[in-house]
Amino acid sequence: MSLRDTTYSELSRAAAAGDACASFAMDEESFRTFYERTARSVWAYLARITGDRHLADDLLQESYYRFLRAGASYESEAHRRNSLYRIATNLARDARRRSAARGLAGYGVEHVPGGDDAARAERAADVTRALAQLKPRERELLWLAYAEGASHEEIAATLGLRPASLKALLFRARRRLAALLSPREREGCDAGA
Amino acid sequence: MPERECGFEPEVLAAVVEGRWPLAVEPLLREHAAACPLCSEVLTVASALVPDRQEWKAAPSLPAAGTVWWRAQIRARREAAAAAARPLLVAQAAAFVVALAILGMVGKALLPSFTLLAGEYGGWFFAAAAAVLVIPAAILLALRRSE
Repeated sequence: MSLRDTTYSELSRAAAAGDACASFAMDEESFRTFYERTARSVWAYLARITGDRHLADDLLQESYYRFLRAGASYESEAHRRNSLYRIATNLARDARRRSAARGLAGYGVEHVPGGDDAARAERAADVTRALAQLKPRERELLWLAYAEGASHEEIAATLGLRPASLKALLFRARRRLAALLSPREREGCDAGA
Repeated sequence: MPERECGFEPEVLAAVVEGRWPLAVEPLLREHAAACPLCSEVLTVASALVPDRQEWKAAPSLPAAGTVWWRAQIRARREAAAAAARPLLVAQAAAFVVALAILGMVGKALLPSFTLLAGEYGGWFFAAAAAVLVIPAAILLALRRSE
């Protein structure tokens, strides 16, 4: 039963009844603050590593649910955030494996909505095309390192990598993406289109 | 072996992430990034991904925090109720298996008599045996579906 299957009438009844809450380690107020601070970033991360906005919607809610159910205690806000990203990453990987098993593997090429600005739309399209040619782990690494500005320790904790191997992986992934984003590569893509 | 890391990479990255590149950084850093292949790569990648992240963050209509919270509450309660019912189901299944075993032992003990009776009342015998097996199974299935 996914979170999306919960109807609004159930939500209203539960809220009106104000009955005893399921035991989460975090109270509602703290969760709301944490959610407001992190949800958009996590959604953007999921959308960009999966290439599927609708999947990102589902994975976002599942991530927060599993985060709440984990019931862990955290030393800091950063620790809490890393844990959330780790959960989100694992869920995205599971979704990818399921899609691959059904023969549906692939990176979507959906662009950022609201692209009335042609220049913005073109930039987003360039990034989408480049990310589509990377391996999933490379997308994860690069997004966390260069879009989110996460430290190597945070990235290693999120992706389950050893810090020693992270540098080499990140170096290679960055090199690949930089080459794909270079104007010469883009001209090649346009010529071939 | 070519260098894989430049000491200025974190500065270049921080400048892009914080929106200071290129106008609000030291000219020396700008000159270095133009000349250093590693920092150029950082610049290329970060200059693409940082604004891209801002676009994606601004795009969606996400569910409200309260909605996510209450959905999680309801789902957690459902899962807790299902977990609480599990031992009962196991007990019911075990009782069914035990009943079948007893039935089998009794049947085996009375087999000579059954053989005689089956000859005369075969149809009724099999109907009764089927009812004894099917009815508990149907009840068990209905109970599982109702949960």
